[in-house]
Amino acid sequence: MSKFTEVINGRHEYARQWKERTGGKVIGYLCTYVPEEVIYAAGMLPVRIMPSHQPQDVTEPHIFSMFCPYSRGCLAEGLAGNYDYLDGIVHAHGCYHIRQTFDSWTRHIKPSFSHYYFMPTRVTEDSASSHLPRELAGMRSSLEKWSGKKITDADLKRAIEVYNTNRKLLLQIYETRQAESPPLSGAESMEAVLAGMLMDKIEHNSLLEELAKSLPERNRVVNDPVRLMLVGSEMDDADFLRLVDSLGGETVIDDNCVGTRYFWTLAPNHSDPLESISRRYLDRPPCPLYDMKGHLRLDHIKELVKKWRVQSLIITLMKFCDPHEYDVPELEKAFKEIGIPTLVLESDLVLPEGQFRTRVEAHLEMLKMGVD
Amino acid sequence: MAVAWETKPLECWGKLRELRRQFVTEMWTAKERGDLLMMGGTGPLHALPAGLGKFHFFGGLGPNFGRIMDDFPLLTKCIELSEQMGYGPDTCSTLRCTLGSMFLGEFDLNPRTGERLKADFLLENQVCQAQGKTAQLWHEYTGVPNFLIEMPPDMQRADYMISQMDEAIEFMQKSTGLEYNDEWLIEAVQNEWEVRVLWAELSMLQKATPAPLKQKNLFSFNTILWRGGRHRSESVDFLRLALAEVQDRVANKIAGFPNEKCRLFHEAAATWYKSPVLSYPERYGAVFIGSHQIFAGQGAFAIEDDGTWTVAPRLKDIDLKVKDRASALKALALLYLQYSPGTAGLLCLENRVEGRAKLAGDYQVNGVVINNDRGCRGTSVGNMESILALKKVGIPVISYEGNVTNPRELDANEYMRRLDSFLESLGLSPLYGESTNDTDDEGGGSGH
Repeated sequence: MSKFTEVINGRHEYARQWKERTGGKVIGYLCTYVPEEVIYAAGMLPVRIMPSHQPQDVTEPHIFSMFCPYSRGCLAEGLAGNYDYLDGIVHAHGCYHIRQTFDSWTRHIKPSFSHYYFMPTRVTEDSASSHLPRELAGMRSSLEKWSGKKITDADLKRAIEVYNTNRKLLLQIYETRQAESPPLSGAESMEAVLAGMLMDKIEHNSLLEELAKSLPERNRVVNDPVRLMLVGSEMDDADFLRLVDSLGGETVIDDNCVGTRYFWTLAPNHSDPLESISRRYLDRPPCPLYDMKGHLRLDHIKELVKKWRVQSLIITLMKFCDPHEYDVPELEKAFKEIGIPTLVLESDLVLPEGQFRTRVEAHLEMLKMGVD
Repeated sequence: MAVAWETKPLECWGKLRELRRQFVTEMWTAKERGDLLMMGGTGPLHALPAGLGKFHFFGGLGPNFGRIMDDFPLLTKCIELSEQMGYGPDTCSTLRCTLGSMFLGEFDLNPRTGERLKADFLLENQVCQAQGKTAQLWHEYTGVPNFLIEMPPDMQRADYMISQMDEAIEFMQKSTGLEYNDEWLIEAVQNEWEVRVLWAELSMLQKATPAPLKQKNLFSFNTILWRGGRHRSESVDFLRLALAEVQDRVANKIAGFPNEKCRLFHEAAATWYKSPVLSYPERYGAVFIGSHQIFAGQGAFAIEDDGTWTVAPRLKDIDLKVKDRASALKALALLYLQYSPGTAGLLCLENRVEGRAKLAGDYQVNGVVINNDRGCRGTSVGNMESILALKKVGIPVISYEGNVTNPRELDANEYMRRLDSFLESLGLSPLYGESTNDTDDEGGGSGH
C-alpha cells in the first residue's frame, strides 16, 4: 500500500494526529473552488470533505433524494460524526447540490466556524476579476476574526509557494503518463491527487518529490492498452480506474476535480497575494458550472486529448449531477467531430462493478476492433 | 355545509386579461414597429434594458410556452426530443421543453403568420445553475448574443452586481447599436421598485381571514410581471388598481374562496400545465393562499431581526436619491439583494427555510404542501430542511414529488390521494356538492 493510499484510507486518523501534533485547526471544505491557500496561510489544515463509498440512509430528512449522491454522501459522513475533528467548514458558491450539504451541515453539525465563499461563476468577465480579490479578503478577515490570528501577506505568499510547488509536482508526475507505457496507473495518479486534499501540503510535496524521483526507475509494462481520459463529475473511486485497467484500458489523463482540475494552473506572481490567488481560480480549467460562456473547457480537454494521445473519453456522470449533464451532449458532439469516441457512465457512490465491467469491456472491444 | 364567506369575481380581472393580451401582442409585433425584443428567463432585471428604449420580452421559456403547456402531446414531444438529443432527465425540465421546441421548430414560430421571432439579445439574471447553463445553450442554438448577470447573495457583494450591470449595458449597446438613455433607466427603476412594493402590499393582505385571493390568482397576476412588465407604468397602474380592490375585499370580508375553512401554502413551483395541484384541496374547504415563493418572487420585503416580513420602503423613502445611472444601478442592487427574499432564498437557504416557517405562522396557515420538483433543483433546494423547520414550529406539512413542466413526472392520482390523507388528518372531510364559485375561471396550473 502506498503512503497515499494509507492517508486516503486513514484520512480521519491523519487529521486527528495532525491536530494533536501541531495544535492547529482543521477546516473542511466542500468544493475545489475553495481557495485552500488562505486556510493554509492561517496555519490551518484544509481537508476536502468526501463521501464514503458505502450506502447510507441518514440524509433523507435533509436532502431531497434527487440531489447528487456526492452531496448526500458528504453530509452523511458529517452526520455520522466521522468529521468530528473539524473546527470549521468553508463552502464555495457552486451548485445547489453541495450548497444544500453546506446548509444542512451548518444547521445540524454546527461547526464553530462556517464561511460561504462567493466564487463568481462568470469567471471570464472583468467584473469577476475585480470581485474575487474582495471575496478573498472577506474570507481572510473572517478566518482572522474567528481564530484571533492575523494572516499576513507573507503568510499568503508562503502558502502560494507551497501550493504552486504542489501543482508543479503533480503536473510533472502526470506528464510522465504521456509515455507509451505510463509509469503510473490512472488509479495511482488519482490517489496521489486525492491524498493531497487530505494532508499537509508540505508533507504531500515531499511524497510527490519521492514519487517523481522514483518514476524513471519504474518499469511498468502495459500491453497495448487503449488510452483513455476520464471526464466528468466528481469521481474519487480509484477502484473504478483499476477496473478499467484490468479490462485493457489505461486512464492516462483526466478532466476531473480529483485530478487535473485540482492542480492545473499556477497562481501567478503578483505583488498582492490575493490578486494572485484570485487569478489562479479564475483561470483554472473550469467545471461546467464555471463555464457559462463558449464551452471553454472543450478546448482544454481537446488539448489534453492531443498531448496524452487519448483514444476515447469515459464520461462519468454522477447521478443527478445536472451541471455536468448539460455538457454531455456538447462533449459527445465535439469529440465525435474529431473522431474520439465517448462512453457515458452514470455513476453513484457505490460502484456498480458488474454493470460497468460489461459496458467498459464492450467499449474497449469496439475500440480495438475499430468499430465507431 | 353552507358556504361560509361571501365571494365575488375580481373586477380587475378584465384589466389583467387586457394587459396580458397587450403585452403578448406587443411581443409578437415588436419587430413590425422597430421595437427591441429581449429574451431571458422569467426574472431578469426588467428595468435594466429599458435604458435602450421600448423593448418587449419573451422569457427563455419562449413565446409559445403557454401554447405548448396547453398541448400535452406537443409538450411531451418537446421533452422527449431534447432527451433524445442527450439532455438527460436531471437537467431542468423547463429547459428540456424549450430546447425540444427549438429542435421541433416550434420555439420561435408565430403559428398564425409562419414567421419566426428573433430576439435582439438575451439577458438573464442567474440565481440558479440551470439558468446559466440554459442561457448558454439558448445562445448556442439560436445565435442570439447573451449576457448573464450573476446574482450575489447579499448587499455586501453589491459592487459585483453593479459592475455586471455596467457590463450588461455595454453589451446591450454593442448588440443593438443603440445609445443607452439613463433617464429611461431611472424611470424604469422607479416603476420596478413600485411594482415590487405593491406586490408586497398585496401579499400582506393575504393574512386576512378569509383570504381575499387564492394563490392561483396571485400566479395569474404574475403573468404580466413575468412577461417583462415589472418596469412598466401599466403594471404599476394595474397593481394599484388590484391593491385597492383587494383592500376593499379585506374590509368587506370578501373571500377568494367561499368555503375557506382551512388555509394552506403551496411551496415551490406548482405546474405550468393544467393540473389539479392548486385546486384539489378546495373540495375539502381548504385553499392555497400563498407561499414564500409567490410572495417573494415579485415582492419587496424588509426582514426584521425576528424574521418578520414587512413591506420594503418605497424608493422615495430610502436614503438614496436616484438621479443618474450609478444611483439607479445601486437602487436595483438594493432592490434585488436587500429587499428580494426570493433571490436571497435561492442563495442563502436559511432565508428560504426559516422564512417559510415564519411566513406560515404569520399567515396562520393550517398546513403546508411542498413540491419536491424532479425537474427543478432551484425550487427544491431547501425543501427537506423546510419540512423540519415547519414541523418544529408545529405546522403540519406534506411533500410530494412533481414536475413543474413535465406532466409525465406528476402522478396526479397519487398527489390527490396524498392530499386526501393530509387534509383528513387536519380534520377535514370532502364538501360533496358544495358550490366552489370563486374569484377566477382559470385552469388549475400556475396561470402562465
